[in-house]
Amino acid sequence: MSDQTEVIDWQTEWTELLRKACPDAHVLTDPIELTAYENDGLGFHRYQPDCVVIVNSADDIAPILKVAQVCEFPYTIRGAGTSLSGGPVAVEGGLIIHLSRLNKVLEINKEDMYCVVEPGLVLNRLNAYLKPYGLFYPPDPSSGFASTLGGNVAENAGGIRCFRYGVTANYVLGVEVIQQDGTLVRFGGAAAQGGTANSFNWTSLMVGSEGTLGVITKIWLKLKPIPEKVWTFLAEYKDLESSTKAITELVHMPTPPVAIEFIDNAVVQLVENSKMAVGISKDAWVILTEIDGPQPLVDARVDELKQILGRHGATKVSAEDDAEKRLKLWKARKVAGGLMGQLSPDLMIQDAVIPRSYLQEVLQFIYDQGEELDIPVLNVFHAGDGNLHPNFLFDNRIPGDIDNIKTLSKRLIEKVIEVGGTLSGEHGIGNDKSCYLDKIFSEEEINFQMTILKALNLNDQMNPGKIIPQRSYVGCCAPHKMQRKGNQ
Amino acid sequence: MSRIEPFYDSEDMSICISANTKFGELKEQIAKDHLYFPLAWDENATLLQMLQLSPITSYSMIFGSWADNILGMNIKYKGKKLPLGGRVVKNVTGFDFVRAIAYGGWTVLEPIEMVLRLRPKDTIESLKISGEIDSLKTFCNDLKSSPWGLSIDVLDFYFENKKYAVHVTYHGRDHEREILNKEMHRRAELCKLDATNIDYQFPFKYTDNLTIIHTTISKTMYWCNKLQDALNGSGIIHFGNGTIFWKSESEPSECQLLNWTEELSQEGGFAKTKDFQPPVNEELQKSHNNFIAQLELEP
Repeated sequence: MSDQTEVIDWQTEWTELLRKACPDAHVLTDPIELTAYENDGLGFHRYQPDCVVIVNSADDIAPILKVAQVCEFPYTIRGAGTSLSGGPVAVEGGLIIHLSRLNKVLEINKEDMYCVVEPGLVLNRLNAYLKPYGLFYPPDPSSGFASTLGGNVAENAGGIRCFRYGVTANYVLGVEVIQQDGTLVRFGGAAAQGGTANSFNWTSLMVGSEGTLGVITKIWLKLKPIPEKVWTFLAEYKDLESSTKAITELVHMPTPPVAIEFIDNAVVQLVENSKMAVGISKDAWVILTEIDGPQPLVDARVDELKQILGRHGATKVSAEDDAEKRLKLWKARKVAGGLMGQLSPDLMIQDAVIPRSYLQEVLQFIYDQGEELDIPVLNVFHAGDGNLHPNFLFDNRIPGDIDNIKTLSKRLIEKVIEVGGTLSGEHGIGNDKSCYLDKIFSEEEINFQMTILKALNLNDQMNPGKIIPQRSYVGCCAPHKMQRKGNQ
Repeated sequence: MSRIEPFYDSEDMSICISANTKFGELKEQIAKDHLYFPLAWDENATLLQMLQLSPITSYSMIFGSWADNILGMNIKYKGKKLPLGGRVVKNVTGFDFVRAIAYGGWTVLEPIEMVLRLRPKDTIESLKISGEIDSLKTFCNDLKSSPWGLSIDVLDFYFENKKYAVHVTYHGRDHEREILNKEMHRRAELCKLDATNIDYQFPFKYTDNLTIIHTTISKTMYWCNKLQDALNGSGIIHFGNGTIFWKSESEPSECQLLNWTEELSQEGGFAKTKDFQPPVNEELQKSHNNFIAQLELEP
């Protein structure tokens, strides 16, 4: 029997069982339809699943997991697929369970300042629902217009406002999860701000677990009041050193800004040469920062912010409170990634966090290394958190380019670890960064990480190949595993 | 050697320190750099004692829980020091055991050293708002849901039989505090309440008999009345988070704590004291036991 024939045999059998188990769900097996699921926002490391089930109700999920158990195929949970580390990609084939249709807001509680949502709800839609209540959900990854809250929880998404407001983990009060054996459990809930009694805080373990510990079907989220007034500041500097000094002073403010973003000179040029131009000098390095809160108080802080930004040799500082103009400034920052596509056919966006005191040293290191390897490096990132996002531009068709990217990534990671940083601040590990895990964790630490998987994810059937590189599922897709890996 | 070793980086505003350090010692070490760790509240208690009693304290209103401010830790596991997390403010490398332990109030795997996120210290000012209980509730509810709620450090509701008050704390430059002060007085007046400037310190000590209740904000008054009837004494509600610290002459019985937890757990809350916390709830039992077995620990 050839590999291909064998694939068709087992695929037919278990897709039939899936259709019977959840007749209302959409079961996709056409290779053309499956192509849409073969990668996430990262864009490369492509792996085609054998089947995709789009569920219409959380009740569909337990029967699917039962079929997976009986037929022994791996499965991966997916929302909008906007992640940047390969989290929702079927590395070992098998099934993708697509949750985007579970997109309801189940409760908004104004008095207790929380809401309950389904995992497929798009982040920005939640904030639209919350607006009439005077509340908002602060984490704001750039993908908020498309990314789902289930995906945000699975990856512990961050964003621009994290410096003041924190990441997804700061806001998840509870989750309802379908475990591998089909059991529905609730970790935490509306009153769970104090954590858990006498055990681990299971909600915290679920956040950032990248779909390896169960299928999240309901999420309790903490909310904040919508700020009344917002000021956005844009400061231009002549060099990297001046801008990083200003960042240090902003970080040390007793009432710090909500966001402190750094945009390097190459990105400024890209933006200013596009339709998104906002009038920044093309030779500038930029800090984009923002304050919010009640109007009289925020207005009273404007002068101090301007002074701090101006103290370190800024060539221009502007402050904007007009909503439309502010939005334009942020749009210029947010479209930077898309504009980079004009410069090269391929792009790798990295995600690492360093202690903020090493900002200038590490940035200079990345530029120097990029130059040595002839890889253009562009930086636009969350400076307040020390959360770097260097973008490496390359052309996969040019022999040697991908090897240079790997070398540059490796050198970056080594430098980040050397200064006490970590592999990822908000994109997750997925299968993109798992190969670096042993650079930061000792064998004992990796074994400790594995204990939670051994407890909740028998045989690594849920999202194999993620976070810990050794994780692999031996099931019906196993004969093709090596072939899949070899094809990437 | 552990990946995480004791350090103090005033520029990065972080410190790795023994979990058994008394808060007073930490305060002294970092004060010279105008830094503080706002979530700790008793200078004579250790960091670990306070963490294990409640991850929510007065300053959680603005800075979140202890778990949000612990960047990494070393734990003792199988006789060795094992590092978890790190020293940076955002970290999604692997499973979040730091938060899982910091939020757990659990004593089997406990931190021996913790990396804390410190904050720049500013001038702090407090107001005592007093008057009728219903007006105080209105004052707190309106404040926490308004944009001003984002600029308040502490919103503590003091509850004692027929004696109630709210303590509001905020920080800032002189002109900022003036604005905040004016707004708090305006709000107090609107609710027919009196506002006076005071030097507010969290009034309870770790050595007091303290009962901790985690519930939703809207149910805090119900629970305070219940605690008043059962234990007498007085309580502080951390109003932004729905956590109650209740001080009484005598401690509640285990039976009382279990009954209360049964009710609170409907929404994920629970009741505990220093010496007793309710057993793992039934729903978590299977996951908990599986995990404990994998860790090769005693359940």
